[in-house]
Amino acid sequence: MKLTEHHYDVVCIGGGAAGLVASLEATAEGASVALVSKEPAGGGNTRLSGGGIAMDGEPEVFARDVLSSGEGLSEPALVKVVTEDSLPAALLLERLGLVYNKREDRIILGIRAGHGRPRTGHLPNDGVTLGRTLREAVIRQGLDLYDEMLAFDLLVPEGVMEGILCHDLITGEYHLFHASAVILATGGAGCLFYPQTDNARGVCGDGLALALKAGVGLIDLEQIQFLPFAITKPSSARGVYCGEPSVVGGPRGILRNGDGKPLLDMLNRRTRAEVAGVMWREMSHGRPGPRGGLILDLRDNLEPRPDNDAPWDSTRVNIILKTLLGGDCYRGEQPYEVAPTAHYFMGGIKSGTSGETRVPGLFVAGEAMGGIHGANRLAGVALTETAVFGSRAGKAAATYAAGREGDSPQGRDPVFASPSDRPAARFSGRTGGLVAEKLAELAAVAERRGTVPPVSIHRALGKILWDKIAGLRTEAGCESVLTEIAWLRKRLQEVRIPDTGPFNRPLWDYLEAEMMLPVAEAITLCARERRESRGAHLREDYPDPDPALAGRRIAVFIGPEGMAVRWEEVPQ
Amino acid sequence: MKQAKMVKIQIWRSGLGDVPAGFKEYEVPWEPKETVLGALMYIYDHLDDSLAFRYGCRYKDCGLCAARVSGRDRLTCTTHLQDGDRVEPLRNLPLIRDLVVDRRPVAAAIRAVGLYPQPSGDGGITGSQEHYTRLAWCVDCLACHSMCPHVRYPLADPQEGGFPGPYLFVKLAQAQAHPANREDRLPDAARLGVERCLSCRDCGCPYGVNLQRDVFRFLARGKSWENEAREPAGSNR
Ligand SMILES: Cc1cc2nc3c(=O)[nH]c(=O)nc-3n(C[C@H](O)[C@H](O)[C@H](O)COP(=O)(O)OP(=O)(O)OC[C@H]3O[C@@H](n4cnc5c(N)ncnc54)[C@H](O)[C@@H]3O)c2cc1C
Ligand code: SF4
Ligand code: SF4
Ligand code: FES
Repeated sequence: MKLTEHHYDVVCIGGGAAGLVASLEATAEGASVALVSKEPAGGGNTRLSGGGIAMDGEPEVFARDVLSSGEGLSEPALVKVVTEDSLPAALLLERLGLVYNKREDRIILGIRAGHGRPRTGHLPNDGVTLGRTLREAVIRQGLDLYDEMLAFDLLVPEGVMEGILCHDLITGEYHLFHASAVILATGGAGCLFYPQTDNARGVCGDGLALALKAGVGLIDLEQIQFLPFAITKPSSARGVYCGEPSVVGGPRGILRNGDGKPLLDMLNRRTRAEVAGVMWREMSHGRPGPRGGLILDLRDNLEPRPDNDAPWDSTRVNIILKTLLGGDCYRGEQPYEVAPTAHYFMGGIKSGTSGETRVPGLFVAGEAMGGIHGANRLAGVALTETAVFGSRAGKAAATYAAGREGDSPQGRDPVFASPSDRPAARFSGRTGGLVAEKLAELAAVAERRGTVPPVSIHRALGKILWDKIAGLRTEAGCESVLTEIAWLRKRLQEVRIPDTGPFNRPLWDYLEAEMMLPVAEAITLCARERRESRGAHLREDYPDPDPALAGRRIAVFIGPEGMAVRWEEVPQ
Repeated sequence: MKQAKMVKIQIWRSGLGDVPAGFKEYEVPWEPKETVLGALMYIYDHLDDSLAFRYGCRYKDCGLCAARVSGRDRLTCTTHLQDGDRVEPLRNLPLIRDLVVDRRPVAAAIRAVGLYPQPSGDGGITGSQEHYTRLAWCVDCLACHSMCPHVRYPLADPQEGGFPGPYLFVKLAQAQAHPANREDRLPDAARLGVERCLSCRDCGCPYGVNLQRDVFRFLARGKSWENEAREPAGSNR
């Protein structure tokens, strides 16, 4: 098994906006930095995003909106940072080359639901431009990019960060990065609910699993934002979002069940939560459509009517529907089936205001971080968060690495040069044992001629999570998820990796499944523990908020007896 | 449940693993608007997980899923599946496995040629918001790169016949059109041989970038589209 070693001050895992900004800022502080990313850097949900970036020169006003949408679960200290730094961070992105939509040289700010005033800037071609621009900035800085490289193990002997272990999809080789600081910028975990998600393929919660295993707690994992309207076909595009219900639905859009019976009208006056509530209920107990969703009928919007004050504007529906569903659906002439889609993880890794965690040398930034959005996320604030905390974590990681003596060896092997190649036996000290152990385990997995294709574990997990804890949750539903996870853990021992060649996706499926199962378990434990409904967390058996649980959050961690949850007060 | 209609699809296998090199036929379910990516994913999930292909977003943002579908270079996630489709890897890039090409030479060329805006140069502003916005539609899929008959790497010495192909010109045009760029890139474009493109019509972007007008002519003449007579957009393929 070939292993290549690298030495850096800081390694950042994840090439979305958070990881890109963090890498740039750590480099600017003088650290040697590697950016490791499953997809080419510049991807992730960042690339798929609408590119809305919230910024406000009056942080207190902004903070009030964020705190109020968080329903008591947002940490004021983190909200203070994200709102205070919002404008500087937006301008940092501009300095890095980001082009905002502008009028007369001023960023055009739009108003979004839940925001008290217009403060959201937009980009030409949305998130594609954000991802591409930051990738260009990183290349301009001469940073070492390791694209299509999966980080699957943090090396934390005796509780201090020492490096990470990765697998290169292109060559099929393993890489060991020695680093005194590691930044987890792996994003959320929408793909746990695959196919019912609008997230990028690689966004399945790896960073959350890595943090848990390293001894860091996760918070608010039960708070997962679903967007109500996503398409249900064609098969490859299940989960692709249509747009905000209030916009897509228009004044006369009607949501119908599978039998054609109207369930909800006046969609432009309904909140996301109201629409989602009706949908989840009908989908679990009523008459859903053939694909498990509901029928969106927009035809009445097209009738000229005196009371249709604002004409419905199909151009604000996600344009991709034109290709994926056809022009008639896109224009609202033909009803189509929609279902909610897993969009954003409000919860995540517990950290301080510079992304530092309780493990020295381990930092977090972006969607992987918890505590900001609490029980709901306002549009546009996720991207602000990536830039704000990317920047802070990058600087903090560089400072931390600089403070570690004798731990910053040189010798860099970027993707653009041919990597050096040293045998595993050369490892010394404490990480060596950990690496050897993990690689031996993987060698055994590759040789085991089991029967289970690793991807089937992803699919089975996606199905049970979607069926039981996507919408209305119950005690029994959570239990059945936990049972299924235990079974899938066994299945994971019986996998079959077809070969060891390059682009060995099944091996990645296996390595990812190893991380997805504990994250799914953590989410389910939190969902079971919160016996009330609050924010995005809906319990069918406890439909109302419990005043006794206001301002209290759930942390999940790995204790002496395995995974466990703990209630804590949201720090004020 | 109605029995799904099945169609046949031929997919290029590069000979790694247990499958011999050549086209291999698979039978996959079909319904209206089913995509080629849907077929690939069906094969991977249900028939053969040794098939290698890339995807990321499933809806035309990541640019990772491009392949040559029945002779046309396209994103598989937005290309509707047809009975008898033949799927091959993109051309002009080293092959890694099956439908997966090596994107690293392109990444290396971007780095080597410095294909990014330089806001801190000492020249005047070379770009404009309007022009940049039109070029922002590029999703880096490399479909156009696959179409060009003249691509030749390495680029180091154009005299030796090195030619970057359209995608790298798109990157150069994006840099030049960036509203804060201050380093004139037209000499680079000339050095890389953009002249050749003015009389060639072999490539086109299926995703809304007007290569002839907004990339090649822009880089060859330094004029932005606003200054040119309006002409219909679109590709010639
Ligand atoms: C469709 C959509 C639209 C959105 N629109 C908006 C919007 O308009 N405004 C807004 O504010 N927010 C929006 N969001 C949310 C926002 O885009 C994300 O929260 C944000 O981009 C997250 O950035 P990130 O850098 O933390 O993670 P991501 O951009 O998701 O990047 C994570 C990266 O980590 C990599 N990775 C993961 N695990 C590993 C591993 N083990 N090893 C190596 N690499 C790994 C992934 O491949 C990926 O590149 C949207 C989200 C979606 C899905
Ligand atoms: S110009 Fe068009 S075809 Fe070429 S890489 Fe960009 S999106 Fe793809
Ligand atoms: S115009 Fe012709 S020579 Fe120029 S990039 Fe396109 S195909 Fe190649
Ligand atoms: S899967 Fe992302 S562009 Fe096709």
